[in-house]
Amino acid sequence: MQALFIASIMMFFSSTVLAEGKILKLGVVPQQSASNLAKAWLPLTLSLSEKTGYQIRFATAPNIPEFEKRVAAGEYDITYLNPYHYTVFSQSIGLRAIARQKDKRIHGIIVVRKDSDISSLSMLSGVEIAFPAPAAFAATVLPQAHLRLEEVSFMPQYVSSHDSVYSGVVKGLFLAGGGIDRTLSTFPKAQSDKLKVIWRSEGYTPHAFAVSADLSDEETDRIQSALLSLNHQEDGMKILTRLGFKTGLMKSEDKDWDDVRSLKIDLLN
Amino acid sequence: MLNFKLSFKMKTIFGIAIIETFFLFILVLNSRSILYETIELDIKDQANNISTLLATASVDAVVSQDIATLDSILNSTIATSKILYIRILGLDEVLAEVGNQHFLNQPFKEDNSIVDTETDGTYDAYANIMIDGYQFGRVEIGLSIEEQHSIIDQATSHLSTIAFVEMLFVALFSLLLGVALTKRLILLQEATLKMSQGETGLQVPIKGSDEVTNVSKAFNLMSKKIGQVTQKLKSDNSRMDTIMNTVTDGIFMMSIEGDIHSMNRSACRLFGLKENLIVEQSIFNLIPKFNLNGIINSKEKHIQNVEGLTLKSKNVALEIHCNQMEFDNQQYIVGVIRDMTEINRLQYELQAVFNLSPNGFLILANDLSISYVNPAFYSMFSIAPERCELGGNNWACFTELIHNSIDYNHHMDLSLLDELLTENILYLKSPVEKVLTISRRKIDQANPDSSDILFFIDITHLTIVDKMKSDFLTTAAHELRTPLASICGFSELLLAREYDKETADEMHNIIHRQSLNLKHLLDELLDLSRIEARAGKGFNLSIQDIESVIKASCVEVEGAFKGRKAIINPLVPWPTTLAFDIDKIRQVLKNLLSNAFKYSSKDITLSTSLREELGKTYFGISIIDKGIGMTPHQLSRLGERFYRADESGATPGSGLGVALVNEIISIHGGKTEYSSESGQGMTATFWLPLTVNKCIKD
Repeated sequence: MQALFIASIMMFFSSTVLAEGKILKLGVVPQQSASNLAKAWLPLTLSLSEKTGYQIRFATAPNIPEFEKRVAAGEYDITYLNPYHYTVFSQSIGLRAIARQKDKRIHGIIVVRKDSDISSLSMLSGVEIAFPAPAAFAATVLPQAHLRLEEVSFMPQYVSSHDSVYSGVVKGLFLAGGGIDRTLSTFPKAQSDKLKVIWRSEGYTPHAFAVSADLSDEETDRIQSALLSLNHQEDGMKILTRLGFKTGLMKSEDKDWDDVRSLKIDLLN
Repeated sequence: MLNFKLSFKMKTIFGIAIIETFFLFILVLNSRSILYETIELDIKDQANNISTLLATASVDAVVSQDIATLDSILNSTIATSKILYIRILGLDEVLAEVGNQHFLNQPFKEDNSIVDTETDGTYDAYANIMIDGYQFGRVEIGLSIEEQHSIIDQATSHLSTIAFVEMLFVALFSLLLGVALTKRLILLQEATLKMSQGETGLQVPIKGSDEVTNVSKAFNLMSKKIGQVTQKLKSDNSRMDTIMNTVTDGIFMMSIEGDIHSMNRSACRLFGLKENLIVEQSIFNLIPKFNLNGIINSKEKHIQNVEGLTLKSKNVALEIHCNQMEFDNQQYIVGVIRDMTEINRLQYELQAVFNLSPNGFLILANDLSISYVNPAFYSMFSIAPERCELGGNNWACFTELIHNSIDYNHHMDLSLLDELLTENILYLKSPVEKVLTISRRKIDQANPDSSDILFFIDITHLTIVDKMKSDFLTTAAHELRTPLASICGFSELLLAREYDKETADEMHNIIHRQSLNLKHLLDELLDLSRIEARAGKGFNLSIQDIESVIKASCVEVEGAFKGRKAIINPLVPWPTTLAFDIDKIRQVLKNLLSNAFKYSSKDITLSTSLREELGKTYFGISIIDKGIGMTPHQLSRLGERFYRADESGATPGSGLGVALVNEIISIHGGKTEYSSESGQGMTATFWLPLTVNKCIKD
């Protein structure tokens, strides 16, 4: 009995010690340049490290396809990824959503030059449309899904980033481009004034914080608690606000992304 | 030590070579060091720039672990520069690396200087890939430094070559300059050596217009001046030697320790030294009691009467005047010596003459200070020598004492000084009456400023004799006149008238008696005069039997005084060695016995005695009467010629008898003594010296 007690104590300490030293990779979808992304996400990773006791390391990928590959390869322990990716990888490698932005719905938009005659999706038939990347959910996947639903044929051009999309449209390289409200609002006003939104999708469940299927429930809980605890702290809210989560985070579960699943998108296969 | 034996030329060359080597070495080292630092700074900058640039360029690729992009960046970078290897590390692993596998296989070690690169042949540097202070990875690079090493080696080699060539040129120039310079310096050196050996008036050739030429000109001028000065010194020295060796006084120079340095000829002669024996003589060898400390420490530089010792151990009396002076920062004593032996002898002789002189004299300077007074002077004025010091202002002291002695009955109007300075006669009243003549003359007749010498001659005796003569003549005339007056008066009476026979006989008797008196008086006077005039020359001294002479004399005188006796009572045995003139002693006895009988009515006694005085034995004969005697006043005048105690004339006598006695005894070398008390009688004693050892007749 005594030996069992000592053994359990030792196990507790050893597991704690192991937990304290464990390195967890936080993979973030590459929506911006890697260095800007790192700058934005470093406070969160440091805060999570402090709260969970794990060494949370920021990671990203040079581009969406590579990101997808790395997610698929299970490189990340915690992943922040768009709704479409979540639906794909929750199914393929068993990612489990733990949180998302509170009270946030995601919209995709299609912009044209202000002086353009185009005013509806149907007028985009046969037109070269710029998108950031094939798997960019709000800026690419949502507009393309709706264009397909309305059977508008178009020629997609992937220009790597939202800013490249807006610039390309302003400069007249493309007649239209896919984007989202947030990135358009942060695009330089002198240029964004030359654009107009001709289509805006309905709201969808936004990007997900998901954990790897390899993480234990305890680890998952600890990470989830740490994320959600940010809502209740001033410093935590500052960190979240800096990442664009002005409303904070909320606990989520896998079925919250069923609305995305309903679009039946199948881009990765 | 070797340096001191090198010539000036070689010293210059070696000196310049050492300085050149030292500074060129420093220059090469410094240049190499600067080059090193420059290259090092350059390579450091290069490495930092490349690594920082790579870190900046690859930050996105590192954060996103975009290996392809990293490979692309690295490949393009390494292709365009001298980078040996580049490695980019993530937090846990190498993300990308390119370059030489050899360097990649080595563990990374950062280099801080080119020196560190010598171990692995590459300059290793790194830059961290940071975002907001959070490290995402690291860039490590290695740069090739072969070229830099090659540049440094090449530069060092070039600098060394230039330094070596420069040293060769400098050495060559130094050699040529040294030869040119020392050639003229050697000429100067030779001339200087000749000058030091005594050659004067040397001139060196003047060429060019540089500093050595100026030195040569200065040397020629100096040589000329030295020549002139030397000539003058020689001339002066010769003159000085002549003077020094001509002076009769000895002159010497010695150190303050007493070592004699030089002496003139007179000094050498004085000590009997040859000139080559002077060296290393100590003054104490020559003058054992020389008070060297006294000379150095006091202002008294004059030593009188110190004894010197000649080489033949003969003593000489010296007088020395010394002076301390400085030559060439050394203290010396220079002395003038005078041989005082002869002067001292003369002084002693003169002193003896002065001391023995019965005449007093003093030496009086113009300032009225008396520098010398002889003993006779002190005696004349009865001045104790210690009352007035000689020399200095002592005139008042002497004159005050002289004043006390002067008889102012003779000197009413003249001041003492006038008396003394005028040849005159000075009368003294104390301690005894004296008469002095004063004569005065200059010590040096030719020099009116020289001191006066005043002579004082005692002429008292002459004055007394004169007075005595005068008194004697007066007395003698009076004494001669008295009987003559009787003779003359009674003979006139007899011639003028007739007297009865009785009266006439009486008158004839008086004339006869007075004639006898006159004759007796003249006889005694003539005897006395003769004895005085001949001063004993007519005396016939021989050893006689005094006893028989006395007895015969007594019998003879007793006959003239009938009934009276002279009783001889000898208290000592009769001497057998008494020398006397028998006739003169008979006269002495006759005179004294007559006087005794004349002034006494009783018998008289003769006694004898002996006494010692000043080593001589005297035989005394005393004639003692119990008569009327004499008062002290009478006794004091006894012996004066024509003095008679009985002034009444009742007692016959000439008043010359005692004077005659005294004179005779005096000529015999004897003495007379008279003692008396008034009314108690008188004792007259005469003492005659025993000529040979006392020999008593048994």
